Amino acid sequence: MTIKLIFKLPILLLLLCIAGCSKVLDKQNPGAINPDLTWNDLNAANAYINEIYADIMPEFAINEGRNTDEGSESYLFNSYMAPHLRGSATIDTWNFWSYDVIHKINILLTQIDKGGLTSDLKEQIKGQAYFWRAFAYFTMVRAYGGVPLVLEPQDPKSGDALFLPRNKTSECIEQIVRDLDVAMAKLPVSWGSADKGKIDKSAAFAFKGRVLLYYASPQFNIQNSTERWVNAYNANKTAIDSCTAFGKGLFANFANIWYEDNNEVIIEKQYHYPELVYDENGARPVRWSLSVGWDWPTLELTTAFPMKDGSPYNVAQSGYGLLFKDRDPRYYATIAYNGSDYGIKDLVTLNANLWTYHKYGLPDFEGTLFSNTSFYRNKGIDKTINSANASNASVPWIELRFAEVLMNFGEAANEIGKTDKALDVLYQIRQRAGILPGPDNRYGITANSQSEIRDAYRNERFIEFAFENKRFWDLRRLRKFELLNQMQSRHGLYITLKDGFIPPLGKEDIHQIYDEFNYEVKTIDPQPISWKENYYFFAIPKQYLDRNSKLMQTKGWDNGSFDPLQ
Amino acid sequence: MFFMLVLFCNSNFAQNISLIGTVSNSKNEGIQGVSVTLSGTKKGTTTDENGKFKLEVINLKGTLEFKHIAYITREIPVNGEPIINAQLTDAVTSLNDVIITGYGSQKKVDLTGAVATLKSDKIDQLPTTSLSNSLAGRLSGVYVMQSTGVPGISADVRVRSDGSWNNTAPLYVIDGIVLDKSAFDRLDPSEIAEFSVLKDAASAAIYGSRAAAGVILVTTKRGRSGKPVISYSGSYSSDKPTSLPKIMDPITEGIPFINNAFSDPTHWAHWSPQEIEGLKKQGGWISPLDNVYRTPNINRHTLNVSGGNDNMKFFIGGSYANQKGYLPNLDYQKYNLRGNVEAKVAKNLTASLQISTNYDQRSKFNWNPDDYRTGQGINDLNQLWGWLIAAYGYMPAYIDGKPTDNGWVANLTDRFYQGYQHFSGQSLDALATLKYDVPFIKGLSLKASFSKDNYYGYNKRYDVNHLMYQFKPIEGSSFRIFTDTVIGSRMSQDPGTEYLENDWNRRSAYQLNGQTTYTRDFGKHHFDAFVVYEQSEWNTNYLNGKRKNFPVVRTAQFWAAGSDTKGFELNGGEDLGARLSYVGKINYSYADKYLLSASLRRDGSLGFAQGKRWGTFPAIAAGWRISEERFMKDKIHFLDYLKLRASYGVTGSDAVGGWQWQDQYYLDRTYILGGQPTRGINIGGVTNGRYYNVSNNNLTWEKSTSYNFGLDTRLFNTLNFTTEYWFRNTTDILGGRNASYPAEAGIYPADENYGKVNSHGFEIELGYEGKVGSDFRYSITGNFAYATNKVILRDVAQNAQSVDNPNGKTLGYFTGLESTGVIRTQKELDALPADYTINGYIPQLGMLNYRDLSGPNGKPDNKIDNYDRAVIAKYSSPPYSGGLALSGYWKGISLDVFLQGNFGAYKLMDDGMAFRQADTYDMPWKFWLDSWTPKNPKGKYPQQIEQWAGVQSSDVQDSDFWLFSTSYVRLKQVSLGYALPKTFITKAGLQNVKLLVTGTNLLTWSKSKLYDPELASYSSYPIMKTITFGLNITL
Repeated sequence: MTIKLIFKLPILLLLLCIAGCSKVLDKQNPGAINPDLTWNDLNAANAYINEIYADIMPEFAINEGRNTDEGSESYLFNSYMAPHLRGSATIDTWNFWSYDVIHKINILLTQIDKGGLTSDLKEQIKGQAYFWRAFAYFTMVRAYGGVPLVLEPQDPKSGDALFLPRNKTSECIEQIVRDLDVAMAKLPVSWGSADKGKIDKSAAFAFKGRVLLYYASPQFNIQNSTERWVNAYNANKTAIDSCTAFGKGLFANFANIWYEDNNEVIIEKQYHYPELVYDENGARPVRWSLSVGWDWPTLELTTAFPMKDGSPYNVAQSGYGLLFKDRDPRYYATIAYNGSDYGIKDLVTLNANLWTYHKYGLPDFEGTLFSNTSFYRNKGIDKTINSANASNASVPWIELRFAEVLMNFGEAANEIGKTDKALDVLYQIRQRAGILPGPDNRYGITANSQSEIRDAYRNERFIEFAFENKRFWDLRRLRKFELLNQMQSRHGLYITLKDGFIPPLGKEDIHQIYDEFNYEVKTIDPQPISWKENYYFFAIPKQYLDRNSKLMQTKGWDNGSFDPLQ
Repeated sequence: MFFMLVLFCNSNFAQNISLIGTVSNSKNEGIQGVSVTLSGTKKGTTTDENGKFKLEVINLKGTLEFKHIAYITREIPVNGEPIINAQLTDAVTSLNDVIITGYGSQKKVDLTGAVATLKSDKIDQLPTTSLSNSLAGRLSGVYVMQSTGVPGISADVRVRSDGSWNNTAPLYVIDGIVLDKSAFDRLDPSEIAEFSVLKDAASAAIYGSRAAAGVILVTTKRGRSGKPVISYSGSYSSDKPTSLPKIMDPITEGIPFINNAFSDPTHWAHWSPQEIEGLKKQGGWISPLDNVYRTPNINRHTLNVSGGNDNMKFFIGGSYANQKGYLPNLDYQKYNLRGNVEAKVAKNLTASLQISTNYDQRSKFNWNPDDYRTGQGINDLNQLWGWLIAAYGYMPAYIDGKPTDNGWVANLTDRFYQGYQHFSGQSLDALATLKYDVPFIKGLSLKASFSKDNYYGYNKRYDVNHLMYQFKPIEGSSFRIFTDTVIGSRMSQDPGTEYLENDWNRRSAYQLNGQTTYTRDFGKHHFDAFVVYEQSEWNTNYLNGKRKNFPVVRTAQFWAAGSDTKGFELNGGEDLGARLSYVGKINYSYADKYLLSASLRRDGSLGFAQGKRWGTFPAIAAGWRISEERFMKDKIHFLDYLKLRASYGVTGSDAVGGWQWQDQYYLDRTYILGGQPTRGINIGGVTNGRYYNVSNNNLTWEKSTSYNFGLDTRLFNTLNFTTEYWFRNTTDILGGRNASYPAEAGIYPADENYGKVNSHGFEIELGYEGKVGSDFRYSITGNFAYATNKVILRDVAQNAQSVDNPNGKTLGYFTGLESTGVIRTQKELDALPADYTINGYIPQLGMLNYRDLSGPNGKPDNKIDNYDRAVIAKYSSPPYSGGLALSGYWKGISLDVFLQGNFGAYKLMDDGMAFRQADTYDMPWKFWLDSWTPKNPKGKYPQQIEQWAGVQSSDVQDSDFWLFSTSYVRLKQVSLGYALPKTFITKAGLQNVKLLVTGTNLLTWSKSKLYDPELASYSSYPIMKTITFGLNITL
């Protein structure tokens, strides 16, 4: 009897508990959103696509200048060289493999139709999704050549079917164009003011133009197929026409493109303090930042700008002391130099110009850690913040603006012999820049032959898009890194005050005192620049090869067998 | 129940004299079952339940021997005295102890599993404010890794070897309530009665889920019947870092070294003659550390009262501890209060209430983050001290009392005094228990308990700028040596934005238990069984607010902070969880010889989908006390006790955490549209720091099957020996299999149950108690353990090099290049192939070279890169560990010496703080003197000249060049105690007065000469060497 009771009692106790506590494990995650809800609620569906913007829209480019002859990067005095310039890039150096975003986009494209949004809203969201898929693939293809095309959400249970080989570059470009064509049809002409910054029809047209220009360029088009140039010409022609029809155009004030709402912007990423900001510390003079050594404009960049009348800067005639005088207005919008009215908040407070000459021991002055080129970046610098807030910059990043569409068009035009159209674009660009037309209305352009115009385009893009993260991709697209190899090193100016002069610290006018300084050209790279031929298509990083046996390495790299030119 | 191991009984002769006496313990309580024998005769008896004995003897000569397994054997000469009272001292390792096991207790002799125990009096004098830190080396098979010396930050504790790559922290159970490690660390040693560590699965399986990594059980002190006893103990400790790396002597070594590396006199790093002269004149290099260093110390005080009668017992105790770190504003304070009351409220019905509260506050100065160079280290103040030693020592922190501007974002010294961070928390734990002994069934009792555990955290952070003055440099100095002429001033740039931040967090949990226990003897059969129902739920929430800038006055108050709404930040969140468990266990023994126990637990976890939620964890264990067998008992005299044990058990883990079994989306990134912030929705979730985007509703328990074989013995009544051998197979280990899927699939799969890890090891514990003469007693106890593991199945990419394949390797292995040393001669350089590159660089003299093991083809390719990595060390945490304690007592004087060691593990010297490259901006570390130069071709370290050109990045790669052994033996503790003579103190109305001096970490033997081998990282906050003065008084 006792035994029975022993067993009954605990059971009774347990029953009591269970009756009261059966809900203990019946809980919902307080931190999650139900996926089904996402496709039935406009706010949630928009949030889903917004995440994709946040994932893949390029950030404000600071310190990208170091990858080319645009800028130098340094820790203290010695230049840091990007692995590509140093010739030490490995297969792991370039790592951009955005398949997680593609997976999200593919889920959106298969799920959204199951939800209850109106078909208009669905189309708009899908339009953006197709655009971003094209954008993601293009960003990979321009780096590596063809990559595996994944257009459906993958299921972990599919086993071997998950392992895909690289598609041909041509197949990828076709797919990118296809996605952009679909996106164009679905996207609105413009968004309401609350959605400003979203991808619209202009963006899809303009981006298609960029894609086809790349595909026609020597990087991909080593055989120089005219058909590709014609495609690029047509796509960019359509882009110009459409964008113009949608209200886009060149903005009159070049210097303010980054600081004012304007119709030149086609693709942008906005920032807003304090929710989303970027760090511009290193781009500012160290005295007014927490870091040092990003995007210091090189002597090469500063001399590439023409004069106000469009003629090239003549070193032999003007030396380096007069670099600041009578230049293309874009020079002033892009470069901060010894004696310039930089206008960052700290200097405004001090009522001072920027002084970048070397003189130790002066207060509120560069002092010990100065730009090794004597120049600082001006374009896109957030001047409203002071040194303590230099990590809270919020100038919008303009990934694509109308000037590029024009120049993409003009470059393609030149390649298919439409010289007039090519020159006309250059004039438009220089006119807007504020260069004087000159008696011949050629704005200082002297190029006439196809190859001269080609060179003129390369230089014009260099200065027009300086620090817009275009130079690196242009040099690569044009297979022109040999120019940097020939140059061996980038250069800067070492400016010192001549003996017996009072150090200028405030609003002194550089026009009056420029000859109180010594200007010495110096080499800033510790090793010769040595870009290698195989960098025109990067290697696929080891971690991705490890995980997929079907993935072939790019030719030119370790045992690579994949030909990116196909 | 007591065991008489040696029993002589003989009464054949006529006796004429009675020799009587009482045997008592240190508390003057009679001891039952002590064998009393008269030397040279076969006369003997055992004491009765009051400790009394009576022997009939012929004369009053010879020596009486008192022997009992739980006490140290004592001999007393008779010398004609007819009454001999003996007081016995507790044996160091007492087999008779009742030790706590899961949901109950057992006598040590009856144990069938592997359980290590420790009484709190072994550790309560240690100068630490965190309990975990004091366990190091005390318990065999328990590894304590003190990764940092920061006040208030506790050590990691691990039981045996990691059996899985998931969380392998043991489970902490305090008075039967499952709590976390932070609750454990909040306890003061004076509150604790004892610890048990359940090491094998059979013991731990009773805690089923989460017990795979062992269980640490703690019971707090209870009241005892009798006159109230009041005891006070206090201590003061003074600290000193065990070791700090040295910089070169600036004048004779450092500056010449820098000037050699930067020989161009116009280079900013080059020291000009005027600068050197100026440095000498101003008194040489003054490390900022010298400005801010203060002697660290710890103060502790505890006061307890305990007492009671048959109906009511109580223990009330409080403690206070205060620790000051070696930098300003680095403090820790802890207040504990506990009341344990037990009352017999009715016949057979006992109620008890335990209430405890803890308040602690950790303070820290502001560095945002602690190290600007790496952005690492919130808690262990990584690298900060290193910087304080090596940087900016050429410039005084203050000139004429004004903080100097060294050009950096803040004055290193003044920064310590600007604002603060306070982390405070209060726990409030209450446990009510009702126990009913069912009167009509003998041996049956019912117990119900409910505990509520709340924790409230409040952190405050206040960060403001400070003024810095610029001074005119002396002639010929660019930026190093200054005159006292002020030429300007500015505010520090750190913090970027001044702010005040408050963070409130709260954790609330309860645990409800119902337990039915049945204990009964039927003849020689002993039964002991229970069933338990257990349910618990917890939830947490936090609220964080921040406001920036102080427009009018700088005060750490929100009213003073800026009202600009852009400067507002407000965040919050919630989380919750629950568990449900059913437990049952039976212990059975026959004639104290054959011991058997079996248990079963079922656990439900919210970590898995319905249907996969429940796990069953059985265990079975058996013991055989061979020494009780007739063929052995009394036959082998030197063998007091011998037991063999074997156990098998299954434990689990739901380390998966979160809600990976559910498809879910979450609000994630911020994007700006129309000039306004919007939020994005991401798919999947982040659990344990890992992102997943495909859920898995098949997730279930990770399971560990363990076997343990043990042997306990006691010989010559002086020597205790225990050994354990164990092995454990963990299966269904939860883990993500990213590497198994191609990256192109875009899949980050949720955890799956797939992994397998085997682990095994052994433990030995040895104790010896001896004496010299009648007054000097001593004991030696040692433990040694070995534990290792091997991965059987773990995710690996299909083309991974064998070095990256974790299968067949230990869990903690690490990889790197195999260094062949510095390229010393032109000949060596010329011998390298023409296209040879080292991490992309062209080889140069003075560079480190490595073995070319492989390439993309699997063959050497004249390129040193990631393909050339090899396994360079098997263990990152030590496979061997041990402790050795020596104690001696002589007339009130006690000496305890404790040595602890860990062996077999390696670490990489971390690259932060310029350990892998001489930093010539600051003062280089002394060991860099031995670097390669053309003049010092035998230098051990690579050349340090081209570092700014980026060449050094080839030398700083992970390689065995930077590997060092962390094996060490450390004199962890030496304590000297003196108990004042009773005759002296009883006059003052005191029972006990003891003075103590304790030294910790006094000596360390290690191959790592540069820094403390015990630390997590080469640049962590140092571990302290301490001297403690203590006083214990009992009234």
